[in-house]
Amino acid sequence: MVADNGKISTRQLGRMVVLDWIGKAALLLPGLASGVSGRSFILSLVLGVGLSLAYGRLVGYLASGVRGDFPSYVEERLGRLCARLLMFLYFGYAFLNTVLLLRLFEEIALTFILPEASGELLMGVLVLGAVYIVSGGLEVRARVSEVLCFTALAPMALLLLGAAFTGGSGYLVPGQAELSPEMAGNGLRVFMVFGGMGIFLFVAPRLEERKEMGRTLMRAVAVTGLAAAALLLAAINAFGEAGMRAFPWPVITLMSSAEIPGGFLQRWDVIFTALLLGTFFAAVSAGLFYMRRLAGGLLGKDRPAAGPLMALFVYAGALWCASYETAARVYTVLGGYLCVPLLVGFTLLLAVVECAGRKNGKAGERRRI
Amino acid sequence: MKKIIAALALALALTGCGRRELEDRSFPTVLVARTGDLGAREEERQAASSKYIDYGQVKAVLLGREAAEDPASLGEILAYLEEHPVFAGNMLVFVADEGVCGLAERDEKFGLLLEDLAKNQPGGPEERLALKDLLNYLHNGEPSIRVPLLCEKEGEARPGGKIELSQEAAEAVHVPVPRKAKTGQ
Repeated sequence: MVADNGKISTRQLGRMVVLDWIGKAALLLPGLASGVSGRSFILSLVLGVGLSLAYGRLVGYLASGVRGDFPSYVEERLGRLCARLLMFLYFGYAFLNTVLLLRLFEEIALTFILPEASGELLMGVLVLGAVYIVSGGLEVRARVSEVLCFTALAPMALLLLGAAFTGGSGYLVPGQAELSPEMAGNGLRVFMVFGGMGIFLFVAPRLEERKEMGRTLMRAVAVTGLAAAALLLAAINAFGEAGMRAFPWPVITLMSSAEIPGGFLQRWDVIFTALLLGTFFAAVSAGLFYMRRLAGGLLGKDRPAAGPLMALFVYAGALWCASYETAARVYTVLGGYLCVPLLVGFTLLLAVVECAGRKNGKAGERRRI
Repeated sequence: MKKIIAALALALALTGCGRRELEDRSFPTVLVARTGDLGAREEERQAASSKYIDYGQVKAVLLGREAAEDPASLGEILAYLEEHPVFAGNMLVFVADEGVCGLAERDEKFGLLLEDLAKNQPGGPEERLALKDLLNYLHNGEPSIRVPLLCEKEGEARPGGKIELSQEAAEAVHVPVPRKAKTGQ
């Protein structure tokens, strides 16, 4: 429930995080398996999720040390310049991620649900919905995520079970996976999906139990990773590895091939897609939420930047990209290969400084005693 | 402010159903594929129709015997169906003689009949073939697949057993395949 003290619970945070990731993970991760065998990609998924779990633990460690707001904490430890650089990188990452989500939403909606609609209109509806959610602040976002998480994910899980058991063609058989540099590379690409999670440190002061943040993030990574693995395995079972690689969106094609009892509804792919796209409203609102705070901080203001302004900026970015493929390429290069490694580096550095600070603090206490 | 945003969002959302009304569309329930160039044939069909042909309700596809037995034509047909997500993966597939193809072209509801025919056969699910299975046969390089056959008898479509289609089996299992489906063998 919405607390009177303006804080959110770890359960609400966990659900917000899962909703931020689930759409992207379900749609993009299977596509990373296009160049390798399915079994090798499962290993890549395990590697990527493992790295993300470790990173979640690290972010949780930092969160427990944050006093006041995160930008002030960074400024105290690394100086003003580093703090502003970090905020700029997070703003850039949030922007690129949100633009990708807009274009992904448009691509999927046009391909599977509303082929005759205008793509710009669809992105506009998404952005407007996200602005509405974000205008209520963190508490409203948390509450929306709490409700949406169950109403969207539970039916999707049931549909997946139905598709897995009725659409299977028996291609999932024991076999060998190849360990290769490509497998490791794909593991890092999987990590890219989760690699911006340090951004949740900006809401750490608003968490009721800050010490639980690490565990919450790890749980969200595990849920998202397991969901992606289940979808991938179900798709391999239904289409075989070569078949799966032939489809641009194997997860949705899996639903279109399912023969779930209840003959009055045959286009399960449309229902699944609509539920999945519903999660994009929460994910895009998260992007706008962080962009508002970061833009406000970068401009030296005490309050966040206007939501509609950030929405316009993101919409303009999506229009500039002109297509989903361009948005994906820009996200991969600038967001994945540039922002994520720098953000991870900063997080590691902060953790080292925090650890040193805590040791010095303990040593000081012992001397006083 | 929130109410204005909500009103704008609703106004935009309510226009998302598309400009074409239901009354301006026709909903065939079966697709007949006699030749490999299905796209061109469907374009001709649309040009000759006074309504917009919406394939969202197609329950079954009928492959002409000649097209089904020619790997190149079959590959082209399957590539067309795969590239258009409006055709569901659980859509039924049959090979049909010329008489049944003619019956299907004259009756827009023929697909419902085929759906009932497939559902109520004594063999159950094993007697049905879905588009997904035919695509798996193509992509995974399986050596053969048995497709239900329909023959025309006394003006009606009757099950005529199965016809076996074959292709060269793939040599390697884990060969990366480009996103666009390869057609033919």
